[in-house]
Amino acid sequence: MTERPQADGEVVGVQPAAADAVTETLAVANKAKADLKLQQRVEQTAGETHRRALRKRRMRDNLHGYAFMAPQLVGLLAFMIGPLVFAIILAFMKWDGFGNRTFIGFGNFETVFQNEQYRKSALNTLWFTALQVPSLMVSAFLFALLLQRTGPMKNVYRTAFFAPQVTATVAVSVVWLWLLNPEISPLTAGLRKLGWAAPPDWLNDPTFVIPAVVLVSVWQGLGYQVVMFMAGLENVPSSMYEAASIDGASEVQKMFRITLPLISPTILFLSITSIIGSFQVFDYIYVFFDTTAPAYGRTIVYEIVQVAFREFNFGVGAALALLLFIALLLLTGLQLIAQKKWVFYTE
Amino acid sequence: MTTLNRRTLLGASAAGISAVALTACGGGSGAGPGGGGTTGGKSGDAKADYMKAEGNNFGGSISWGSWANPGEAKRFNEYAASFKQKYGTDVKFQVVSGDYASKIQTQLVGNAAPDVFYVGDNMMAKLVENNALVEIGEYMKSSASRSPFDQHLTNLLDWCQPKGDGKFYGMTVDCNPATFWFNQDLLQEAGYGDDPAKRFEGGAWTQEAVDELFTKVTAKGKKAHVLESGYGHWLSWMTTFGGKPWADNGDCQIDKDDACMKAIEWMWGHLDKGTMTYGGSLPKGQGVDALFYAKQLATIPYGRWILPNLKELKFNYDIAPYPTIDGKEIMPTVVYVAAMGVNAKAKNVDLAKAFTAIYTGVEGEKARLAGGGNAVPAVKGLENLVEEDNPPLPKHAKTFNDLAGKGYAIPLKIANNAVVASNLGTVVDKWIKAKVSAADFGKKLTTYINTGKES
Repeated sequence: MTERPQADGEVVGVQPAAADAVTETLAVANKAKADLKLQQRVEQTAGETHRRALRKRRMRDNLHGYAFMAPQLVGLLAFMIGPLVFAIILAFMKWDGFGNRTFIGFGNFETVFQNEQYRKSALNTLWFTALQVPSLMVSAFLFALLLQRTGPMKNVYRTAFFAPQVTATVAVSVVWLWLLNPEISPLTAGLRKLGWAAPPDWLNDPTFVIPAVVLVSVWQGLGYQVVMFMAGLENVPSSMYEAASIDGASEVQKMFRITLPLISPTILFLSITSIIGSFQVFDYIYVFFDTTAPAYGRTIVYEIVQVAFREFNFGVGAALALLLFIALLLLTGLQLIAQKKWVFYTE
Repeated sequence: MTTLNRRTLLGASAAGISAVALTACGGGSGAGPGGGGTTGGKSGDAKADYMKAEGNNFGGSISWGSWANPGEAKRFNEYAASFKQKYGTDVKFQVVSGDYASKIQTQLVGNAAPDVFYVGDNMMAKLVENNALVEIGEYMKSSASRSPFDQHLTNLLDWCQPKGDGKFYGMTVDCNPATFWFNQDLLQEAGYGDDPAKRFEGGAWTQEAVDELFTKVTAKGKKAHVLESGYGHWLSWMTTFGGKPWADNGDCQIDKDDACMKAIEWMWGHLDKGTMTYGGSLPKGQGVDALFYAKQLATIPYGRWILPNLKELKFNYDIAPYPTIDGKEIMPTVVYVAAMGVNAKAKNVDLAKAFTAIYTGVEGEKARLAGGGNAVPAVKGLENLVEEDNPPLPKHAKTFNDLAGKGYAIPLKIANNAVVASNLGTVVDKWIKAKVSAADFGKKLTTYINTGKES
């Protein structure tokens, strides 16, 4: 038998009926393949259209978002990011605030590190922080605890504690100037009555200047921290205390096992903001001593203002500010690393 | 998608808050270089109409800025209105409140400073160095000026030529000589006999006389005198006792000048004995002038600015020059001053110069100081202004003029170095509180003024 030439798609050596069936099957398969491709193409096209539409919509939404944020963003760029970058650049330049700026590398930093007074002022600032932050936080926490138990008078006390916070620091400082005057101060008179024969002249005694400023700043800052602690305390579920009571826990145990862990985020927040604030202390010093603060009463920000605006040396001022910024970033970073060990988030 | 959790938010907030410390230093003065040419603006020549001695209608407008308390601001606005009426020039006065030097500096850098403005003694050198002020001496010396240069107390103008080259960049608006005020009642209670003014008239206002005053008042339980850390206080004592703190080339030579060193020893002696009180040891916020007002302090070396307050009080007071070695001559002592300068970028420099000349001249000073002024004229021909009260207050008010005519403004060696000008009071405070010896004080002071560095 002579086999006929093989046609395309024809199965060799297969009977015609069977071959027809196979051909049909192949056609169906091919059609299905083509349909699939078509469907994919359609889907692809539809998908692209959909994605394009989505992109467009997202862009439109974003534009709206940016438009709404624009006033804030412009402000942020103009008054935060811009000056921030300018100050960083300035730290490497010599500039008296008027004429051309000259790049001097790390010259300003050399000046800063060689200046004995700046070292003293940095130590004063650290001393202030070491005294002020714990004093403020502990006293605020204690007052918040007490205020939790004052019942209907809570808001009255809270307002009273908060009042100094909304009072201008300059006004507070002026009042305290008189309160710290040893000749007329009720504070000094009180200390005498308590048996301290010769209370210090707070703002003239090198040992007591920084503690005096701490006293004023704690008095003024207390209200804010009390309110924050009270908010934190109110968020501690009462069921926990009840369960602890049933289990026979003492008040001290409740404090250390429930209260403090549950308000640890508040403690962390307040410690970070307090440390940053304490490193930037300036206004009290400026009102107490004007432009001639004694060496033992000067802080870093006071030095920044003096060197920039009185000595017209903006480069050194910016270098000091940059170092302060880096110190605060590092300190805050360390706090955030350390918080993993002791801060407890309920969510 | 990244979610903003509490930790991230806390971290970001903290970083943001700490950035504020750095941002604050940027000062927002990122504008380009502020120095313009010394002429700047639209400058004409001496032939411009309003520069001529005749012809009143200047026209145009000018902006003027200065520090001012509410009373002064009222008076300045009245002067601006009268200037408009007389010269047709619209003068826009603005009070620069708060930290004057830094605000004016920011305005200058941002090309927004007034056409004419007050210049403090700590600002002049820096403004001149940066060509922010117009040279005004040539105009003031020309026939076009309505306020001839020689009419001004030229002994108070050195600081307006920071380079010492005869080019003046400001004219003193008025002045306040450090004057020896005394409470007559306290001196009488202390049994001090003739007061300093009488002793001066009798040629007996000597170092011994002031020693006796300090001793007697202190023995009565009151404070006799307060020495403050500002240069005006210790420098006046040095020069009134014949000291020559400055060498011919302008360098400080306190440690090499016998009279200066003796004056320091004299001050230190009184501080040691408690017959003179150091101001830095007084409670902060308790002004030295407040002690004088409260009749707790017998003498005070302040300017005429305390007169308005003294008029409200019920005790007898008078003034005298500082005591001297010979007891009859007035020696040079410090005079506190401020000047008016013309912005190098003023809209119309010639008009600004003309305004400055009139303002700092007889006409302007009379308008501002008459009827209860708190300063002393810095031009000749207005001597009677300090005696306008009837009877004059204080009785020897003419002494203000004598002191202004003999005194000196901030020494160039201090004014020209911003580090020294800014920190001199602080380092002196530190040395006095550390009780350094008179000899060491002289040496440290000389080195610091000459180099800006502590030895």
